[in-house]
Amino acid sequence: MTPLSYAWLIPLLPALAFAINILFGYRLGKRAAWLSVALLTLATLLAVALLVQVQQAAPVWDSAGLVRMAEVEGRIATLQGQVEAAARMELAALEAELAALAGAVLVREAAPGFPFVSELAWLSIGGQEGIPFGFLLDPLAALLVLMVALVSLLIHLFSIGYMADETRFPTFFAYLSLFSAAMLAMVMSRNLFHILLFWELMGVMSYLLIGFYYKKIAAQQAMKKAFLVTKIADLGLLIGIFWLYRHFGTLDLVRLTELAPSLLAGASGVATAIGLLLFVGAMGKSAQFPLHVWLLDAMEGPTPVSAMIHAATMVAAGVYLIARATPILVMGEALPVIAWVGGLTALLAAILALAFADVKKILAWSTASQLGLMFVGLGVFGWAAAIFHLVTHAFFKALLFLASGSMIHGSGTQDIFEMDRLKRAMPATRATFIIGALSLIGIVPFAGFWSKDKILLALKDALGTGYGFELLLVLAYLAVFFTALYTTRLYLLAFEQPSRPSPWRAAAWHQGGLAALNLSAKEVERDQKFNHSHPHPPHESGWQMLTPLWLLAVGATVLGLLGSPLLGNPLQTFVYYGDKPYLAPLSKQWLGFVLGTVVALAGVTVAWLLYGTQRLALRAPEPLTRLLQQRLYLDQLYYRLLADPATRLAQPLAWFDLKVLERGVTGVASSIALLARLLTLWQSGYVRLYALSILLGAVALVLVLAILGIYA
Amino acid sequence: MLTLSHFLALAAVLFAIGLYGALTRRNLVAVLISVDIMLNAVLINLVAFARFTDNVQGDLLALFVVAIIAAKVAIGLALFLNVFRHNGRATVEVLSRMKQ
Repeated sequence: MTPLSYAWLIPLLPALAFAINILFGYRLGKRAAWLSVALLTLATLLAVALLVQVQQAAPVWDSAGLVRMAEVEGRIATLQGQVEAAARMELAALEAELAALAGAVLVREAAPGFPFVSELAWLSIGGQEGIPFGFLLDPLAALLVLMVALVSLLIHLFSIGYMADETRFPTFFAYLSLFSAAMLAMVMSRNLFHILLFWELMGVMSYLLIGFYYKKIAAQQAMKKAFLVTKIADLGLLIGIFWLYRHFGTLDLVRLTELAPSLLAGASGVATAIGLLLFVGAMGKSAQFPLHVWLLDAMEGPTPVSAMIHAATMVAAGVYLIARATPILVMGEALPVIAWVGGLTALLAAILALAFADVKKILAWSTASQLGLMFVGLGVFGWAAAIFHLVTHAFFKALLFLASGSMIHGSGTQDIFEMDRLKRAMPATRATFIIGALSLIGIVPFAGFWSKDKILLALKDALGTGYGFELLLVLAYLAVFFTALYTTRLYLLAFEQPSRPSPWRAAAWHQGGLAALNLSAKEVERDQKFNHSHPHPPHESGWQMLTPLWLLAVGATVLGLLGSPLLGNPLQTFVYYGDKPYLAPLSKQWLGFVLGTVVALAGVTVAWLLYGTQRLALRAPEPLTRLLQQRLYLDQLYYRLLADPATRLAQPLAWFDLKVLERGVTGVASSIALLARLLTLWQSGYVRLYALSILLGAVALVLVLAILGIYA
Repeated sequence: MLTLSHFLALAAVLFAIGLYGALTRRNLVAVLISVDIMLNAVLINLVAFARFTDNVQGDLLALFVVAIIAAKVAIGLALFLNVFRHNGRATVEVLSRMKQ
C-alpha cells in the first residue's frame, strides 16, 4: 500500500472537523472540541504511517562515510595547487579514497516510486494540461506533515482547558481545525498554485483567529493589519508565480526542479528576480524585517492561536516555500539576500524583545528572530539545518507559548513585571517553561542547541564566498546572545521575582501599535476593559493544559538528538537538498558547540546579573528604550506613508459611491415603486372602470392603426 | 334593396346601445342583458357577412356563439342570484369588493 492511498485523508480529517463544527458546533457544545481532537488524532496517526513509509522508501546513507567524504573533500581543496611531491602523493591517495567512498556511502537505493507523487486533472480545458492537483510526498513533506499534525493536536488539547469559558467555543475549534488542514494540505501539494491556494486559506484563518475577540478594537485592528500586510507580501509571491509559469510553462514542483538547471542556465537575472519575489511572500508570512509588523499585533488573538501561528502553521509556511523554491533560487543571486534579511531580522527582533513587558509579545519577537535564523540557514545552503530548526522550533515555541498561556491563565496578567514569583504556585508550568527556554537559548542537550548549531555551522562553511558572511556570522552570534538574554529576563521576572509596578504600564497601550491610529480617549477606555489584566494570586493550571505542555517538553528535549552527531545525524541523511546529504566533519563542529554554548551562557549570565541579583544596574538611555518600544517607529512610518495617503484617496471615492452611485440606484428603485403605487389606483375593482378601459383601449388601438395606415 | 351596409349599421347601433348599457347600468342583470345586446350585434355581423359572401362558416360560428351565450346566461344568472342572496342586492358595486 503506497502512502498515496491514505495521504489525502490527512488534510481532509481536520477539514471535516471544521465542517461539522461550523454547522452543528453549537449543538455539540464541549463535544465540538473532542471531535476536532479525535479527527486530528486520526490524521496524526496517518502522518506517522506516512513518515514511516516514506522513510522506508527513501535512500539510506552511511553517515560515517558521508562525514569522512566531507573531510577528504576539504583536505583535497587545501592540497590542490601545491607542487611538493608529498602533497601530490597525499592528494592522489585521497582522491582514490574519495572515489571508493562515493560508491559506498549509499547503503540502500531509493525504492521505486520514491518520492510518492500523484496527479489529478484540474482546470484542464479543451485538452490543455491546466493546473493538475497532486501530492508530493517526499521526506520534507512527510516530516512537516507529522510536525504540523502533532503540534496542532497538542494545541487543540491545550485549548480545551484554556478556552473553556468562551461562548464561541465550537467556532474556535472549527477555525483551529481548518487552519491545521490548510497547512497540512499546503505541505503536501506538489503544485505551487495549490500551495498558494492553501497559503491564502491560512491567511484567512489567521485573520479570523487573530480577531477572535472581535469586540476589542485592538483585535479588530490586529486582524486587519495581519491580513493586509501578508496580502501585500502575497502580491510579490503572486507575481513570482506568474513569472515562473511564463518562464517554465508549469508550476509543478517536480517538473520545476527538473527544468530549473536547464531553463535558468543563462538567465540568472530572471532566477534572482523570481527568487526575490517569492521571498517577499515568505517575508510577509514568516514575519521577516520589514514586513514583520503584523506579528506583534497578532498577539491580540487567544494564546493557543499565537502558538498555532508561531509554531505549527503560518510562519512555517514561508520557510517551507523558500525550501521548496531552492532549485530556482540556486540559479540566481537571491540566496545571499535571503540570508542577510534573515540575519538582520534575527538580531533586531532579539534586541527588540528586551524592550517589552508582555510575555506574549516577547515570544512573538523571539519567533521573528528564530525564523530569521532559519532564513540564514536557507540562504547559505544549510537547507537541512533550516528544516531541522523549523521542526525543533515548532516544538519549543509551541511549548513556550502554551506555557505562557498557562502563566496568563494562572496569574491573570500578561505583564511579566506584574507576575508574582510564579515558581511557588506553578511548578509544572515552570518546569516545562524552563525546558522550552533552554531549548530556545541553545543549551546542551535540548533540541534548539543542535539545530541552531547546524545553521551556524552552515554559515561558517559559506564564509569567504564574498557576500560579507563574516559580518553575518557576528550578527548571528549576537542574536544568540540576545536570545539568551531576553529569554532569561522573561523567566526571571515572571517566575523568580516578586511583582512590581510595571515600568511600562503607561506605555502599554502604545506597545499595542495603536498609537498611530489616533483613537479617542473613550475608545481606548472601552477597549482596556477587554484586556483582562487583574492580577490575582497565581494558581496552577489543570491537567488538560499541563498534558500538552509535558508532551511538547519531551519533544523539545529529545528531538534535537535526531539531528545530532551523537546518533549519526539521521535527520540530515533523511531530509536533504541535492543528490546527497552533506555532513560536516565532527572536528569542525566542536568549535561551534563550544562557542555557541559560551555565547548563550554569557547572555544568561548578563540577564542574571541584571534581573536576578540586580547587582548590575544598567539602564538603557531613554531615547533607545522609546525607539525599541515603538518598534523602531516602523508602524508609524507605514501609517504615514501608506495608510494615510490611501485614506485620503479613498475619501472622494467614498463620496462618489454614497452620493452618486448609491442615490442613483436607490432612485431607480423608488421611482419604480412610485409608478407601481399609481397603477394600483387603477385596480379599483369596479367592473365598469375595467369595461371603460377596454373600450378606450380598443378605440386607441383603432386610432393608432388608422394613423399608421394599416387599414388605408 | 337591403345592402350589407344596412346590416353593419344596425349591428353598430346595437353594439353602441349594448356598450352604453353595460357601462352605465348598476343592476347586474341589466349589465348582462346589455352584454347580450352587444353579442347579438356581433352575431348580426357574422350572419350578414356569411349571407353576402356565400360562406356558411359565419352561420356556423353564429350558432356556436348562441350556444355559448346560453351557457353564459345560465352561469351569470346563477352567480347573480348568489350575490343577491348574500348582499340583498345585485349591483356592480357589490362586486368591487372582490378586489380585496
